[in-house]
Amino acid sequence: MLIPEGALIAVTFYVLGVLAIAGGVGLILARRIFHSALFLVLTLVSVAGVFVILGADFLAAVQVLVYVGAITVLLLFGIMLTPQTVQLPDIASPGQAISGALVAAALFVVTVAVVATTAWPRAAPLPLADQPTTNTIAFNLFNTYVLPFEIASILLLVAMIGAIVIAREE
Amino acid sequence: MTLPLCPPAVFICDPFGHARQGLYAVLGAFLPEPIPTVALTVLAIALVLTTVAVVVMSQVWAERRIIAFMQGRLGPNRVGPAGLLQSLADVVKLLMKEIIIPTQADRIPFQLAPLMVLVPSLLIWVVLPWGPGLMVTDLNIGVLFILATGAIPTIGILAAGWASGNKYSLLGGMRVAAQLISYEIPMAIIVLVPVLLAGTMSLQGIIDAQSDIWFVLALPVGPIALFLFLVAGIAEVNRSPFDLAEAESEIIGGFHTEYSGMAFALFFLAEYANAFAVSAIASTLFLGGWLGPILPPFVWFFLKAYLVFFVLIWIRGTLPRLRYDQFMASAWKVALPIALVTVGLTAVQITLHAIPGGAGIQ
Repeated sequence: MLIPEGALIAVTFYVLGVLAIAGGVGLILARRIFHSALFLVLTLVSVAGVFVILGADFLAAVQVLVYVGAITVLLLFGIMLTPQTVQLPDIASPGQAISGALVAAALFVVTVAVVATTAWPRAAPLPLADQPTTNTIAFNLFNTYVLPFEIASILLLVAMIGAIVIAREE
Repeated sequence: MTLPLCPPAVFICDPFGHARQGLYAVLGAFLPEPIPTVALTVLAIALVLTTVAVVVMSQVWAERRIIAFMQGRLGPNRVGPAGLLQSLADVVKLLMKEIIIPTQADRIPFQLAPLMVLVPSLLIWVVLPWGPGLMVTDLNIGVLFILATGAIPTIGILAAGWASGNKYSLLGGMRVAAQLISYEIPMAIIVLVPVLLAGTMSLQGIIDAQSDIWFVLALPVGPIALFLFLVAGIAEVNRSPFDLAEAESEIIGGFHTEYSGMAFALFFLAEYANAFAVSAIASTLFLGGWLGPILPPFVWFFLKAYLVFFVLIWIRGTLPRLRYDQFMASAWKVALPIALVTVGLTAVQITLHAIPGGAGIQ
């Protein structure tokens, strides 16, 4: 082959990574909350692309379907129902800024520490989306992890009923 | 009973496959891999995009003519024979028009929105199977890919509605958000019926599983599933009677009120590309896709897709638009329960091996 497959994957990964980070930075820096939501879409789609590179095509499709197709749409819906003139305040109060910076720094340190100390398994590069992952995910979800799965379902149901009760309160 | 198929070895039965093999042989003789493969993929994508443009023009013409006949009018019949060139003339007109950006508009999202709607619509075409092995790529999560890709345009429509800086656009955008979220759920559930029957999410695999019997005839779930799929599909592509997003009499043009020229044309293109994609997916999931006797597979594919599209036109020409609350009620109180029951019934039947042609889980 003229171009090794590994190089193609690496280039794609870095392009998607830069896009995902750019989306994240844009989300924070955007003045209008609507723009933040659109930057969030960029990040989510880029992460879905990374999933595809890792051979998790099912996860990638679900990521787009759930996060882009449903959650971000609801987010935008909420933004639209608020007055359009809402803009984020230019400067946060000093207390907010200091505590925010502390939390962000702590999170950064913890993340870096975990990434650095984890022994990452070096698996052989996967053939791109050759193996259907759907069956494997379904098998594990409904056998090994059936209890966490059901608990998560009940949690979602409880949250949904709670939301309806709050919304219907008169 | 097996009907005589069009043998793929005959050129006319699989012209694209023959052309691909021929080109691959020629290119492969001069260029090292992966250049021929990449070149052929690019060519296939170009072919698909060209087809989208031609199909959309034919759809617009067919829709205007057929609705005109249903309403006792003539429809466009001046440009070209039987008005066939009317769509082409409209395209030229739209290309030359100015794209006006309102002063109140949020410029960048306003200009990005048509692309955010069009690109996913075109992406869906990449996985549509025209014939045996005749698609740009056969994903093993094909059905899920269609659902996921079909969810992205909502963001574009919302962005268009918000960025226009016009209250009617905003109302249209919000209607779309509610509408698409509502009907996405019955849609996602009902496509599980053919997936369960075939035991795969690959579109090619679903067609293969229908070689004995089309899923629409897998009684009793098949016809119900096809009907619900079409209802949800019409809602997803904002066509009448579910075109609340652009209800002229209520909110002018909805989310595309402020768009003109080519920016408007992109929304228009996406809408018709989606309508045809829904027709093609319906024929793939329930009507055997490219399966059929004697005629070449790609002819069957387009024949069935246009047949389903004709039904969409027929519905548009016949039914009045739903009111907003009626629409939401129909999604949550009617379509969703029926979809859930149908999928449950399918699963039970497959488990009991009581369904004709249900390959399913062995």
